[in-house]
Amino acid sequence: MRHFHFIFLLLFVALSLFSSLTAASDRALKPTSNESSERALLLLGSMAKSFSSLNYEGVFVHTDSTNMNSMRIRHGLLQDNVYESLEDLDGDKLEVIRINDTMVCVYSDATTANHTTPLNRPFQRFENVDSQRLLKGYQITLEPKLDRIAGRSVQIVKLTPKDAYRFGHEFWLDQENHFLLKHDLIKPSGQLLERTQFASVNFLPDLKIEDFTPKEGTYTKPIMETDRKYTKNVWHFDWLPEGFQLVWPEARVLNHSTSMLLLSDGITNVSVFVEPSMTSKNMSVFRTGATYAGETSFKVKDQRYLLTVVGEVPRITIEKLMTAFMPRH
Amino acid sequence: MTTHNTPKELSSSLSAMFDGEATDKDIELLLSADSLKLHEQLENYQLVRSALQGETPSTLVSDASFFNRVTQAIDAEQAAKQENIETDNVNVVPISAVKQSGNNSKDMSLKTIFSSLAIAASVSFVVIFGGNTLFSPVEEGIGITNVVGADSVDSLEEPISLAELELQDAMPADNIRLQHYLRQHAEQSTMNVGQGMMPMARVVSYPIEE
Repeated sequence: MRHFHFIFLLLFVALSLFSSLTAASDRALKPTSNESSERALLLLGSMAKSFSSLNYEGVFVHTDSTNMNSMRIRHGLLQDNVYESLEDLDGDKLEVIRINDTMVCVYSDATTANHTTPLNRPFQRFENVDSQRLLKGYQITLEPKLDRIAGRSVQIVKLTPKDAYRFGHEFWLDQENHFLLKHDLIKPSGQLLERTQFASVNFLPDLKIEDFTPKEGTYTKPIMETDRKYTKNVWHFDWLPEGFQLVWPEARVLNHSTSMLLLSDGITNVSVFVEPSMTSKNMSVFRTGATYAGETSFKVKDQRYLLTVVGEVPRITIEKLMTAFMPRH
Repeated sequence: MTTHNTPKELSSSLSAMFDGEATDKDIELLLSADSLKLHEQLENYQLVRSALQGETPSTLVSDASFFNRVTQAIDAEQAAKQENIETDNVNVVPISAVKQSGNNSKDMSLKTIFSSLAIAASVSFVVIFGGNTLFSPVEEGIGITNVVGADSVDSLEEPISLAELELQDAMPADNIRLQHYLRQHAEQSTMNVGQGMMPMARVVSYPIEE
């Protein structure tokens, strides 16, 4: 009888253990939406860090409704200096080389250089994801299935917009190092607006300093870092889409008395430029790829201003932001 | 003017038109054909096509006759164009020339019919062959697109291609100020969206006047 009790007890323990293990494995296989969202946010943070922490050399293709360009990107730490370059492989419009905080724009010749507005800031990195802000604007999920991009296994993070004021994002991140291997920008209707996808990537590149030296015969323009000037922000928005907020508390001063404000929802930027103007301009919105740009003029007392709003957001967002822009009282 | 053509001749010419292989003779034959016969032939032609492709003909024909809708569209367009021609003549052309325009009206009319028929043919081509593709059993819901295609017959006067729609709000290449702001925006994106230099790839696509 005692043996019987002992066997019964053993069976009971074994069954309990088995059921709890099964439940745990189920949870592991099917994460709840909260767990999925948390994991996805961690991956996005890791993705942001990977761009500066990893050495890489790869070729990616950038496409939108009218353009398709292949580009080579390189990043490496050589003799304690950070080297980075982005080269347009299909044309002669752009090559940007960064060595620490010094940036050089390379053009095919001086004429092209004169046509092209130089880039005037070294690249800095954002390495922290503002989870709370992102969650205001997007439903963030980690796809349970793995995919394969550029010969590497990837996890897919989806950002589905919660309103009509932003586009959706899909990120294909390297399963090992969380580097971004593919990015889709998607309209709420599901229409693909823009895709950036690596065709090949090497995380153990044999990079040399010569790789970051402009080719012979090209025209180079070193970009001198100038002190960033800021001024008091005298503007504000009467309305902003959920999750969007100003990145800088002050306004950045650009040339010709232009003030620049930057809005972000944590993943999408909207740049706002305002400058005094002599001429009146009706509201107009243009588009190139996923980027919309709107222009309009308005008057404050006797002074007319020209407002330009640029961002990878739907047309309606650009239009609403232009009507919600006003002087701070 | 109508002539008596055999159904076989009509069928052959219709088929050629739908396949984009119509000769001048085919067009002449179709233009001079008895409208009722042409109507019947067109419906038959469509039914055969539909049957071959395993479609439901009623979906394509809908409640109003397909041919009637095409004819109405042609008539409407023809009337509108004639009205425009008359208006232009009154405003610009001397009185002596207005009289001549009466003689030219037949040529104009033929040209209008020809172009209208060509447009109508292309529209019907889209409807029929679009239907073949879109009315697959798996994607029945997409069939709505086909109805839109048929409805577009009513708005033939201002056909806008998808490419044109894309270009309607295209970024102006001569706006230097805007170009500068676009680059500023791309730069800021490299610092704030956590994708390294990749947002700079957009700069290459920005229009530049060269």
